[in-house]
Amino acid sequence: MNKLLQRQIKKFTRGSDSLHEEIKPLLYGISDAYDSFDIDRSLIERSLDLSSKELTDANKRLRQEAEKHKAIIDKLKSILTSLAPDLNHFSKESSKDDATYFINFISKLIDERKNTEKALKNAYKKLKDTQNELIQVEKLKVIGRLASGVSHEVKNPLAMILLGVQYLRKKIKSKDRKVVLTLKHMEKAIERADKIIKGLLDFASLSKLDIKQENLNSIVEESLRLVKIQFDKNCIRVETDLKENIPKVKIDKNKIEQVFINIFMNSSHAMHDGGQLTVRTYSKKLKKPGKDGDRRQNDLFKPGETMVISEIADTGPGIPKNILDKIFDPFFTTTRDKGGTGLGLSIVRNIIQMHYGKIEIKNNAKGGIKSTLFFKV
Amino acid sequence: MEKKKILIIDDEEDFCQMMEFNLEDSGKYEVRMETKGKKALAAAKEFKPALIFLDIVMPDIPGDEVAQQLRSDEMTKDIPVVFLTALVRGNEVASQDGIIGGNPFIAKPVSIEKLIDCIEKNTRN
Ligand SMILES: Nc1ncnc2c1ncn2[C@@H]1O[C@H](COP(=O)(O)OP(=O)(O)OP(=O)(O)O)[C@@H](O)[C@H]1O
Ligand SMILES: [Mg+2]
Repeated sequence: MNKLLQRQIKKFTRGSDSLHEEIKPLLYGISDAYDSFDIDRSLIERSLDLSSKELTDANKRLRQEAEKHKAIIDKLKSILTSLAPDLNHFSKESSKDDATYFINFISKLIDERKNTEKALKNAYKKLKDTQNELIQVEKLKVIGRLASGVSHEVKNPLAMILLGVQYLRKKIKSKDRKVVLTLKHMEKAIERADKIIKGLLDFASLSKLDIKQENLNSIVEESLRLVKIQFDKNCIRVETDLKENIPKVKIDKNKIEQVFINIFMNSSHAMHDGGQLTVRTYSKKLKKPGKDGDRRQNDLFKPGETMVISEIADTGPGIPKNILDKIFDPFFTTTRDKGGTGLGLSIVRNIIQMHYGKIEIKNNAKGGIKSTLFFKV
Repeated sequence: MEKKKILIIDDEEDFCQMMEFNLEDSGKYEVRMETKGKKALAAAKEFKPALIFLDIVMPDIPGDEVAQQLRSDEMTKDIPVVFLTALVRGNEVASQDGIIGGNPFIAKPVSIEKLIDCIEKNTRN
């Protein structure tokens, strides 16, 4: 029987345990009701207990969130005040006008978000650029392995053919114009194939740079020395204006020498009836963006950074407008009949890019072209 | 005038033969060729050339190793060795006759004039 019911009956009967047999079934019915009430009550109590626990938990969460919000708002406020002194002033002023303050606050928040987005985008772009560079270096390595393989396999037969043609020329001793021309053309074709393979090897060697601090002036002078015979043959005068105080640049000496030689040789071909080549070097500190015309170099050169610049100008015929955007393409050439491969300028550009530098080639107002090379210090 | 003896060590037999035809045709040289790098030392000892043209890339043994063998043998150490190579970059041949490991080298393909010029430069008369 239900314990509570038992106690109440005892109280009612003053301690007597004897109960009339007739009311026993009724009492048992009541006992059951008592029992089920107990169960219900414990259920209700448990559920009440639960919900109160949940409530305190929820309260705690809300409090924490509120604190977090407050921290965020404080942070945003400090950003706002640091953004501009006049804004600080404004926010104090407008505390009387909460709506205006709030609108300004939100618009600043949006600006802040936009800036963050921009910074993220920039970071992403940089990451992508780096990735592209790595891919480029990988590509060059593959080209390198390919090129030395191809070079070996092609140059050996070329070597054989050249000596074969030369032997035949001596043996045939024909005065027939067609025979003489045929042999001459064959030799020229061998030379051209050889030049292309050399260009490929140059391309291939781009993956490994040997970077040191170098004086650009001495590289210019050495390159000029190497093309001197060629220049003398074409009656080309050379004028130099090399500023002595330019800072040293981090470059691969041999590769940059090749850059100058390729550009000089192009000018030499362009001025086969004589002319003048002018080479200048100087350094320049980039001003803040927007104030001068250096804005387009912002990607590679940051404001305040010092660059060493070299300008090479010739007095040749210049480059026709319609091919100006093609001259850096591999194998693009207008001098194929004179043995040109069209690899010269594409190698130049690749070398400069590997140095994180920049090259521009433009027609001079007075005729001829001017190439400008930008180097990082 | 006594003919100069020239030994050509190159695995490309056709190329060797073309060198031989051209050099012998000039009337000034006696040429012998060897297409196995491993037999180079023996051939040099027996033939006693005035100059050796030595290919750098050969399948059985690299040219610089052959050069090492020639340098360390009493009988062959004074014979001038000129490397032949198909692996020279454009800017390295700006001055066509460069130096590899103390030896002069010639880039393939090479004209007969250059070959003769090179022989005369590197041998005594
Ligand atoms: N100084 C210049 N004056 C006029 N045209 C030029 C000059 N430099 C380059 N060019 C043009 O740009 C083209 C590409 O030049 P690039 O150096 O890549 O090849 P190339 O000189 O024709 O061949 P290679 O470099 O193998 O001799 C040239 O064929 C020419 O039309
Ligand atoms: Mg060129």
